[in-house]
Amino acid sequence: MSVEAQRAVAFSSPRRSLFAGLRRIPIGVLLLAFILCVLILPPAFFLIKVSFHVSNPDGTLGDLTLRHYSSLFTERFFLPSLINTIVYSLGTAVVALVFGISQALIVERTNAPGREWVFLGAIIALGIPNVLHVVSWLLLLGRAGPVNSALAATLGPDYVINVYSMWGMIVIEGMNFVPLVFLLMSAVLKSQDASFEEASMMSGGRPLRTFWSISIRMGMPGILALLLLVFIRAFESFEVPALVGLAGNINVLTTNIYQSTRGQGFPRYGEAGAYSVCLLVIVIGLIYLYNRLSRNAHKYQSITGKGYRPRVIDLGPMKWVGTSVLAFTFLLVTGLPIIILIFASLQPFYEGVSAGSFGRWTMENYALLRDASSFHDAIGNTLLMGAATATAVVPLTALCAWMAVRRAPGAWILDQLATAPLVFPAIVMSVAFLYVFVSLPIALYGTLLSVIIASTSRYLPYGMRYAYAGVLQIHRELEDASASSGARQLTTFFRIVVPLLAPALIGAWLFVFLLSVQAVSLPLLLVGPGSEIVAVTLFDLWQNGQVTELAAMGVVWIGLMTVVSSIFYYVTRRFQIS
Amino acid sequence: MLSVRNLFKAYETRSGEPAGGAFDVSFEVARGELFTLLGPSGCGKTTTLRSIAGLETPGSGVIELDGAPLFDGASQVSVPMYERDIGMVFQSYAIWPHMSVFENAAYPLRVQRRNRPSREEVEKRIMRVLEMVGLSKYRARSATQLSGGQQQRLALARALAREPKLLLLDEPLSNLDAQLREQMRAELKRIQSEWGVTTVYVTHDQAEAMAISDRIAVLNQGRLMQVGSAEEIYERPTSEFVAGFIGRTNLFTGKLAAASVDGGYGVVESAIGPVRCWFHTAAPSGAAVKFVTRPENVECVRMGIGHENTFEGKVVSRVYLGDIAEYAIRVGEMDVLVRAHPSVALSPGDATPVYFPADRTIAICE
Repeated sequence: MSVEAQRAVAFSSPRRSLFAGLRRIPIGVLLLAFILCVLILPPAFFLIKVSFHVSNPDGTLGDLTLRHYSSLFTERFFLPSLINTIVYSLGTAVVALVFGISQALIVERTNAPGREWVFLGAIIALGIPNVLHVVSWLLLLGRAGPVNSALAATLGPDYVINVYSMWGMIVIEGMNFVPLVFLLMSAVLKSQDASFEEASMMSGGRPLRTFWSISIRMGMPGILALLLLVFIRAFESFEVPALVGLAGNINVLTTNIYQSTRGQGFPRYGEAGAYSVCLLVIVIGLIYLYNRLSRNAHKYQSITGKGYRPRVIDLGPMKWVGTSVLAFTFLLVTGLPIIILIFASLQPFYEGVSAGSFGRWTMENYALLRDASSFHDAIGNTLLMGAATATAVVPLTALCAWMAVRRAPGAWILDQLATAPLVFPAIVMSVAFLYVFVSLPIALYGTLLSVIIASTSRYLPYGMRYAYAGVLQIHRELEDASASSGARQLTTFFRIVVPLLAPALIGAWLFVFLLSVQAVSLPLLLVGPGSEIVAVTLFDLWQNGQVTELAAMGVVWIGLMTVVSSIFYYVTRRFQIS
Repeated sequence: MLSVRNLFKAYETRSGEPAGGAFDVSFEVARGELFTLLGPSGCGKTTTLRSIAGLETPGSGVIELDGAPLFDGASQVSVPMYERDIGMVFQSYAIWPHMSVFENAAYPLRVQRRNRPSREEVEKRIMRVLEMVGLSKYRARSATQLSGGQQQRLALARALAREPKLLLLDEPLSNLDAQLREQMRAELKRIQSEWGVTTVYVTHDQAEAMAISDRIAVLNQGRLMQVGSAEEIYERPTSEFVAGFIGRTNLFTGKLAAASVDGGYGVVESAIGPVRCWFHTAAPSGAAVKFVTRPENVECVRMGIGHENTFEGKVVSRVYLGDIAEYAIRVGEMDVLVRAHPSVALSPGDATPVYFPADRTIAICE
């Protein structure tokens, strides 16, 4: 029996008293567990507490009550919202999968010219904040947008489309998830033995038949898991429901929470809490389902042999069809949104694309940005917030992952704790931290620090995932060799583990940075005057109808983020981080 | 039947350095023959096989099956792989895990475009193939429940299902354990000859190649080194590489005393003295020549000194292996490896004559 296994058995032995068990846990593990608990437990605790108490107009809590929950089920708002959320999430998942999977199949399995450029498109998309993506789609498809004016001009005014509708939400959110589906699916295809497809082609199966009967069918468990993943992400998404849904009077659970805290009258914290707890429970159920599904997703991969080599299917003249599909998808997902943003940023006011608008170029919006100190503050705040979050998350999760992988006694709890925030939808996290900060005696509410704390908690699981995978790749004996050379544990960690883990940690840092600076829903309820965040500012600008300033700010921000995401891409490629 | 002429396919690394491939490979395979491409990894055998299959597009050359071109670099002909009438067994078997045994084998018939067989026809034909590989009683079983050997049989059944003109086998036995490998080797050979299908077989295992093949082509670094029967390749290698790759060998260098003729004998002056060798091809007098002889062909005791190709030697070491005893015997400056019957009892330090039979001492002019 290995040393780790012995330790594990010793630790789980029921004969040992709890106290004796605790004493065996290294101080480092206890310390880390304490830090994680401080980050994770208060929001959960306050969220549940608030949902069971009467909330007074002044923000304090009254008596214990079940009213918030009972009203959820009695009022006629909840069920329609739930149904809307399900329809919207399912639609989004289907749209994203259809586009994302076709892209991945063409890129990974065929010789369509230009396929390697799709990665570039996906990287740029990674750098576009969700809120900007939504806004640019609204500019395209909205009442004054070029699509509607073209429709009105050709088919007549009756054929104008209303993007502020369920299908509008589905299309926009679906497009938003295409790059994610593409990246995940292409990773799956890359790791899958292509000889299954070759065997089909050698049996006389044509490319389309092979894709359908072999690639898709064999990938089914993985595809179902992916479907559920996008479903969950859409279920807890906020930007599209807030910017598209609310304007079209389509409510989903996340916007209900938002409106309870930011609607008319005083904030109804109890109601928001009850909604949040419900959402939390649903998401926990979905994630449980997802974990079971994705465990099955790899069952077909176990019987592949060693004759692996990536394969390109020669499509012949059909390859240009493949390229057209790729180009079309790129245009939809990345190209058009950016073009319309650039266009709008160069206009004095936005009223769609018309002959007149081409005579009205202006750099005024950019000049405004250059001179406005609030804009500089927002950019500065956001970069600081992202850097601080990433810098807090990465070392913390690196230590946790190291201890968890090496099975330090009790370290499994670190893994569990650091992964737990995954079940919190961003808007729920936001509400929960809002309660924490308003209840604290120190004045944290409205400060940048409050956003950093909330983001750190929120992105722990992402850091954990990177660090865990990174540590798994380091052979145990490399550390044992250090120990047998007389190095203490911490010395081993800093001299051996950290250098070997560096590429994964840099990747994790950039990834957490990218995610945290784009988030709207998490900082939305937490920022105050002086702690503006770019994504929230963009959100507010849209609410105020300042479209052209928003566009200019968006273009500048996309430029900045493309640089960061390119570095991220380069680092992960260079060091082959999964 | 199958004709490959001047096949070129070069690979490059991302930085543009050459990374293997096939260079000017040409051979013919007769109807019903089991033809093996043998060589170390990276020698171009799999590249050649995949080019025949249509899984790779060669840079240039001609591949013809039954007189019809599958690929012709000059006239830009390239029949897509799914229209080539070829069955293939992959190294990983590539048994589709989401289909039953029967469905896996029936797939080639089900995807057929022209004159697709009827349901009864499919049933009959597939059951016949499954019968032949001994899987008929597993027809409804999920492919994931098969053992390695069974997967291998199923892969073979699938490749043969539509009765292709040509069967390609890409290291089909390399994923099996040693015992099963020998059993499957015999079975493969039986099925292949019963079915009478023309077969190209790829392996890096020389024993496997020798046991199974009608003819063997040895490849090295993308080039075809020698084509012939197992005996020809083993007994009369034409290159140092072939001699060294297949079995163990003693290699000597020297100079040709008098011009040799094709398929005749000549005397080579070497460090240990004049040695009469067999020549594949004529070489001029004075040419630098190498010659090789197998350890089991060297004899220690029969001849007395003074006889042709016999030299004074001294035993350096003896390794007893049960069925055979291996000696290192110093002749001049050379240690000659000798495999003798264990009854030959020599000890280190003993002096012994060493005899190289001329018809099994092969000159190599490269």
